Amino acid sequence: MKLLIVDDSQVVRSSIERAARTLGVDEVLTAADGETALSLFHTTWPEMVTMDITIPLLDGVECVKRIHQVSSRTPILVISALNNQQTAMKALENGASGFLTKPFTATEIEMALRDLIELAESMKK
Amino acid sequence: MHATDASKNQASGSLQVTATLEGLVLSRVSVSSQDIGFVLRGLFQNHPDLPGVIITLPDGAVSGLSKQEYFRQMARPFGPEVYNRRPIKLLLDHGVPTLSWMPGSTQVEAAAEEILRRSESRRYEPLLTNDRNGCPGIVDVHSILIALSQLSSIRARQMALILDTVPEGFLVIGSDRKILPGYSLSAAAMLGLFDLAGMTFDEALSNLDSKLADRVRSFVEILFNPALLDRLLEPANPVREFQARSAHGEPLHLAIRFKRVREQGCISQILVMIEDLTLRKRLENEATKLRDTAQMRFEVLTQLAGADPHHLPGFLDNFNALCQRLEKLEPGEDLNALRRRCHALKGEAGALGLSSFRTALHKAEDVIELDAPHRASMIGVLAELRAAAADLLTLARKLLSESSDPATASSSPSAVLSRFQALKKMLSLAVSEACNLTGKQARFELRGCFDMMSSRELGLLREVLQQLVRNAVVHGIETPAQRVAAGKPPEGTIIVAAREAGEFFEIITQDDGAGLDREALRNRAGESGEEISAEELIFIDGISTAQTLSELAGRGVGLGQIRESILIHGGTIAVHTQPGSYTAFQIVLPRTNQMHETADR
Repeated sequence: MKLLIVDDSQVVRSSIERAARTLGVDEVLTAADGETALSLFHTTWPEMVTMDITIPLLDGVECVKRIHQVSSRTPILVISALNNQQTAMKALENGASGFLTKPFTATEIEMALRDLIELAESMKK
Repeated sequence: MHATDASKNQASGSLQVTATLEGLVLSRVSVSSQDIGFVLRGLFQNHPDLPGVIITLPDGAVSGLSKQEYFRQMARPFGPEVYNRRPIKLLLDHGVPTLSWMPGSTQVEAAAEEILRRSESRRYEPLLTNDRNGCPGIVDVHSILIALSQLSSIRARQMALILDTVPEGFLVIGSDRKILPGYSLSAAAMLGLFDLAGMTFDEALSNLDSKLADRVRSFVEILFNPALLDRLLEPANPVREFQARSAHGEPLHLAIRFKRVREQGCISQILVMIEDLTLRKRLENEATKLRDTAQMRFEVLTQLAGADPHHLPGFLDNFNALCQRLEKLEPGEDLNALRRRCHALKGEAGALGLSSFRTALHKAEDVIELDAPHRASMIGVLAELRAAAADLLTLARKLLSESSDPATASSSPSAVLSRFQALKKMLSLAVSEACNLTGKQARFELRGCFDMMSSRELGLLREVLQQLVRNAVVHGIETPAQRVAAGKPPEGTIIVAAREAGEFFEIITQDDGAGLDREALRNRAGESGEEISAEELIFIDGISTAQTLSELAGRGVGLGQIRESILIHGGTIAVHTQPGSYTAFQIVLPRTNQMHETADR
């Protein structure tokens, strides 16, 4: 399983990566801004993505939209500190598969990733 | 015939939801397999409504033949000639299809399902069954179907009754986004509507809040997308908890949850649960307000206890006078002059260390020249302070008279008076001992009505107060150097004061030290402490903010045990703190009656 983590915070990236590794994700790619995220997506084709909303160069909702346009079967988990329903809804309407608010606990991220992996696996079939 | 009995039974509507085949038996007419075929012909010709007969075999086994099957055999070439004059057994030997058997305890629904699985040509064949005594009987398919329809109408009535009476708001959104007819009456009532069926959920909500309804419409669309993750949709729920106004303008506090029903990879329905939190929220708000008032009063009390008693009454009188002026503000009043009075009084409050008053007056100064609504809220705050102060002014006066010279208090018998002095001596000793060991400086004051307490109360308080003043030196008062750096006098002050409040004594121990370090307490408490306030944590033994467990604080009993012994005496203890300025413990003890007291002596 290949996971792309997009977040401008090193701390958040590594905590998501740690959780993903414990769940058996063997390949993890990371990006700190929207443009890197998109080019990385197009070159590596990960099976799932976690996406921060407030990232430099290209915002998360836009990234979700573009990824969804080229690969609608890739599940995207939006992780954002913006705890407002409008942002969540906008991301979901643009093709995200789920929404998690920051800060999250270890259990929360683990549960969310588990759902994401399950979804990615069901998409492969 | 049994036939008529059984059908009457059904018509009377005595059917239970748990009805079984046994109760539907239509006929128990039986023949022996050794009877000749004419017997069957006679039965079926004379009783046209007989669905079939039971055939008993010589070994006691039972079989059954339907009327339809019998006539089918008779219609065959030479049928009557072959069977009429020979034993019925021959029919069975020739492999004529017999009735299928189902136990009498089979539920009506299960039987109906079984019937639907039959082939078209044999669908209406009656069933062979038995009652609980093993006695065979024949059930006709039509009576099963009639019972089934009766059952479903009973179920529907029960469901309707449930939906009409449950307090929960419950409804189902179908895949066409419309609300299905089976919703609870409470759901309609909460949304302020008579009929929800056929509406979309956002239409139903638009009655309460049209903007919210728009967001709900988008959310419902998202919910119907099967590719999205159930658990991770909740943060997007715009109506997880929200406030609105009912059609009658009453405030309403609702929480709405959605549950998706998946069928073959699609979202077929969404269950919606609406919870009315209005009453709970109102109670919560009232409790919070009550607690805030109590907290404020307490702060005022501790501030008063620390203030110079000779200047207090004068300040409170001036404060009262200002409040009265503000409440009865007349048009054309010189607001600027009032503002200057606020400012002057604020200075006085600061000098006396009355921070609640200082803060309130500071705000008052700011808004005094603004519009009426601003002033109204400010006057509200001042009025609360004033009410608190009025109660406490009495106490202040009492403290003033008692602290000036306790020996002249005429009402106190000398034996009890010596208790007051003994307590004072003991606590002063504890303070100075602790000071010597820690290199800190502290002044100790004992005030109030300890002379009115029984030996029982004093016995408890001796232990408790000794530990609290020691704690005050060790944990509360800073070193002289720290104090000077913080702009305080090098010598700290520890005050223990008591007052009577109806059937209770209230005892306060206050130091003007660094206050509780909430952060450090939380850290020590670890994750488990997140739910508990810092004020609660210090009463949990084993959680202490002291960097090193000092010999003194470690000696004696912990705060947890102190609280326990106070609780045993029917009292309470609470802590109040202001980082950088004070920590105060408030003990409330019920008074023991005087009879008890005399017996004690």
